[in-house]
Amino acid sequence: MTLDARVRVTRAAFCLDVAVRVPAGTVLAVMGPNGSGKSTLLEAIAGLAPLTAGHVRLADDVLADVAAGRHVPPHERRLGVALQDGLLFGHLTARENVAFGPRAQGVRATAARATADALLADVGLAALARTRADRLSGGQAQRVAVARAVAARPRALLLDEPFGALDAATRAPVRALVRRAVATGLPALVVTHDLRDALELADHLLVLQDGREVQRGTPADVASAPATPYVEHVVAAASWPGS
Amino acid sequence: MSVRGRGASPGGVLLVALASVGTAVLVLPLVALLLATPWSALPTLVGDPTVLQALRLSLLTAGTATLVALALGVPLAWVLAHDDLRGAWLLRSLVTVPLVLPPVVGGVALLLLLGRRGLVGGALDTWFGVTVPFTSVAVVLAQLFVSLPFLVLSVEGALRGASRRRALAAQTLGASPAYVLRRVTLPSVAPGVAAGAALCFTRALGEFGATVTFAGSFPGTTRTMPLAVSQAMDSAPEQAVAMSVLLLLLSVAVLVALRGRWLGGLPGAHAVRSGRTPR
Repeated sequence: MTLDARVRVTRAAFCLDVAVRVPAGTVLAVMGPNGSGKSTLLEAIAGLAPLTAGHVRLADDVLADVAAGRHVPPHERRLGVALQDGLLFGHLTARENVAFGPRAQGVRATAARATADALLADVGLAALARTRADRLSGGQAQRVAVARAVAARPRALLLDEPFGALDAATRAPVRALVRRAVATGLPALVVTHDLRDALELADHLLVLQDGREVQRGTPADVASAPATPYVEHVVAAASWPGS
Repeated sequence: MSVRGRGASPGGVLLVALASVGTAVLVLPLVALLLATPWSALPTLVGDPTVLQALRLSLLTAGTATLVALALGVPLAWVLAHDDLRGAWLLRSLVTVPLVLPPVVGGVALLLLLGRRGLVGGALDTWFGVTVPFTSVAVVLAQLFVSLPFLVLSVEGALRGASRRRALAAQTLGASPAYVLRRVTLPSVAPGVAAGAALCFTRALGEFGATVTFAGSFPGTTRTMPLAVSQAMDSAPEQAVAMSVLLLLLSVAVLVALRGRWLGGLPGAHAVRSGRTPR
């Protein structure tokens, strides 16, 4: 199951125009300065940002194709999405947040909750399963958001800054969870600000700037030959131990 | 209550002094009311048939006005909360007008619309033999006119806070729009709807100007509590005080109920209320 997308999204003065191809079982990390279009790319694939041109395909399934006038609504795309800021449902518990996807898709509540509990345990939050989501800290909410995306029985993972609020100790189990989900044959697109996430997790790295691709390659290749001042900057930031 | 670290400067003293005067303006009249209340005679005074009649009418009309406001106001708020509507600003201005309008003007306007020779009232009278003014229905309409904006603006705020992006996040997890409405949007706006309904109810309960103009003050059909209080001030001041205290208690009760709802949405309140602590 390969994710193949060529998207153009036009918003006022901003235009994103980029192509990505993520083979099954691999992770594509997307980096770039603020406003470079990383989140827009993810939202375009998820069906939340309308394309002005291009297509989104998952294996043989055409999720969007502007030329053919096709746009599958977000809730029928079967993608595991964690948007920036988590956007948990504050009135539900952590467990019900993670169980939300399967339950929305018709899985029985008891089975969905069992799945949720297992995933919460994976990210170290078993003790907070019954806590309302609006009482979780930023880092806890972020881990719930990743578990929720994985729980939604996705055919691909789209994660927007899934590790941003996490320290080194909590980051490891979340990365491991993403890696296990990918190992089942999912393509994954992970937006990040931290080159170490890309080096740890990703098979390929795409660097965006002003809505365009400025560099692409394996994370190690990109790190060893920065093409722009921004990439030089993230390489420097990642080489500070403990930062 | 103490304002720490500010008391020393002259500006701080002035600030605290003005805040105290402000508090006094709001609180002292109520203190006077409570001090003047003949507490031991209260049950007898409140148990008077004319008081009970007014109370019953008030609760019935204000309750009806609130239900109608919910049925009409939630859809109206929904329309206002969606920016894609052209002319939403105009609609919002129109909805806000009764909020700033003197209620008596609302009463006059209702009379000119629904009175026997009014814009619509004439036709109602000629064709259906229906007369609205000076009936209990007129009381409800007067209350609805002044209280509906409170509900609409409160619910609109809640709908905006519910965030379109959260609904989109739910969709990406495979939830159909109807499922999102049922499990995400409605539960998250429920506290706002409850708050709006409570505000709407208390405003309807206290309605005077529009009611007296459009519905008159007939015992049993249109003389609600505020009208009865005004009436009793001349003839039976003690009863007026007793009814005023009753209205005060009712309003405070709604406020307390409302606070409980708001607390329900705040961090920590869940564990406090259910007696559990997070592990």
